[in-house]
Amino acid sequence: MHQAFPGMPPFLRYGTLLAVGLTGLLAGCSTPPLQTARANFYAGRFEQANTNLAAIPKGNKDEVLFLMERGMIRQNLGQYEASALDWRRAGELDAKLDTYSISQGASSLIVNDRTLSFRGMPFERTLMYAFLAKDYLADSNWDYAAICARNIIKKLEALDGFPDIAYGRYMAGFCLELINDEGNAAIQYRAAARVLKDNILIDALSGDILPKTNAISAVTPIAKAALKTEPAELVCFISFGRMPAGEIYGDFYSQFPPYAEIYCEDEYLGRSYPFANTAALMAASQRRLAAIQMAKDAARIATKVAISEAVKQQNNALGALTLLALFAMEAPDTRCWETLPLWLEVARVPCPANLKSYTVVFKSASGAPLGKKVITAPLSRRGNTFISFCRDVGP
Amino acid sequence: MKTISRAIVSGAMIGGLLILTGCAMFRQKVEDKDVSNMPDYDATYSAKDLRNLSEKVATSIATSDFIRNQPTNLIMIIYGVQPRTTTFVDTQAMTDRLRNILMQKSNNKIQFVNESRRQELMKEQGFQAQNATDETRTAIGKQLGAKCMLTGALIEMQKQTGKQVRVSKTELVYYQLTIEITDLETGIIAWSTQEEFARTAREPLIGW
Repeated sequence: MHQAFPGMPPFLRYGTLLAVGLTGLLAGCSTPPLQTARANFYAGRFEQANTNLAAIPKGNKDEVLFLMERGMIRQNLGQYEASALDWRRAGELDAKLDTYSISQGASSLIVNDRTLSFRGMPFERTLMYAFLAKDYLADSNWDYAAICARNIIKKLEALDGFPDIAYGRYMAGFCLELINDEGNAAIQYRAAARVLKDNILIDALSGDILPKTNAISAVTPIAKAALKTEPAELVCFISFGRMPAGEIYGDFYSQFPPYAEIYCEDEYLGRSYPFANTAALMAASQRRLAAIQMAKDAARIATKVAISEAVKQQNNALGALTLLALFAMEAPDTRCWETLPLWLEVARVPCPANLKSYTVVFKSASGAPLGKKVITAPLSRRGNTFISFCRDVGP
Repeated sequence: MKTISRAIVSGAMIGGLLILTGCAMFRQKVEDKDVSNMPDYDATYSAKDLRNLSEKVATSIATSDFIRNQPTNLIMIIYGVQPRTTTFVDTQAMTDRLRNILMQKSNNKIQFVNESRRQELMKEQGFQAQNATDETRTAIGKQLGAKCMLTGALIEMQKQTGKQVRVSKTELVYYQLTIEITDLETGIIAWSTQEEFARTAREPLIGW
């Protein structure tokens, strides 16, 4: 019988066959069609996207990612309870991933970083709680929304060089305000204002959001807002677009923020202001991890060369083949929570005390209309504060 | 050489099969556990804490002078315990258990109105008013009003070991449960109690 590698010891040959078989088995394991689900989501086919991710395999290295994506899809479907369960499960799994897995670490040294369990960037994990809070706000579960707020704060208090998130701070402050924890809410509003250096002022006592046209003119509306003369107010969390995947260079995605105008029965109530841009957060996080990633890549390349050299000493052809195979497996880990919006904005506007619905007109940075939505749900109420959120999935 | 390598491969395969089929780790196993003695798997709030806290607080209320000095049965309403935590604690489970123990320990001296089923109660009374016979119909407007309101808060504080060269992290979690009984007529907090506990857990930073 003709042998492909005549100099190779039989046990190594069987071992290689076994390894190839196992790799094939693992590669063939069915995973949910994530890209299809994302495509359906951004085409506005939320039901189909939800069906795509109906079965999430337990113990899969991407389970957290699947749960993050499905949570977002379900929130847009108005299935707040199911969405909350997904994100809570993702949070529990993430906590377990604090323990470094030697087996996954070793395989990532031989294959690539995609063999590691997905955790997401710190800002993705923080924003997950901000979106989870929205599920509870929609269900008028203020206590659980406040639990989300505490988780956001816990994560933002341990940034370790990663970027702070004004949107997360504001959401945390607002959730705490709703359970009358006004002291801690004010701390978060102040922290949000510190992060938003540019165009927006936040009143720490009332949470009111105002444009910073100039320091003097801003004083009057803040004082007015503090008087709380409005009969009621609407706090609306508005998001636009899609977070880009992969390496982000420059500030292309974070320029020219769109905004939303809010109307009730043709009366203009106010507009939204940008609080976070996920592309900018991703770019800052990637910069923070650049040195670590470079060291990991160098170690991986060295390991791959060493393995192929060792095989080459036994069999020259197999050594070359091993080198080729190992480097063919090189791929950057671009996994991220792609159903996250690009822009995260907040509008806090006075509104009628009997608000039943409102209209959101999405506009580009130049003021060109992008779309329009009439919102009747979610629209929960706590005292004189109406709480709602909406999203322009956009192109 | 050939014989040795064959023996190694065969041995490894047989060993692997034996491990997978014979080891208890790979067999399904179901067993009942003593609920009064459940282990903790991490430092956070668990079923054991739910049982302990509600037991302690209920005993404290039932044996208090406030209850003993009540001239008649005390009707209470439970308005929930606020979870001021980072974990999603089901505080309704705690108040359900608290209610149950209080009713047993006080020999029904403490009574509760069923606030969580008020909607269903009204619906059923409305149904009976229209459809039930005169003899079996429940009378409307005869519900008893609560005299006191039971509320509370569960507070959690967490601390973790700081950054250092280590292979495990230690987490300390402190919980404090405060329960208040407020007189609905005067608005005064008539009685209050606190229970607390702390727990540490060490988790490995490196695992298989």
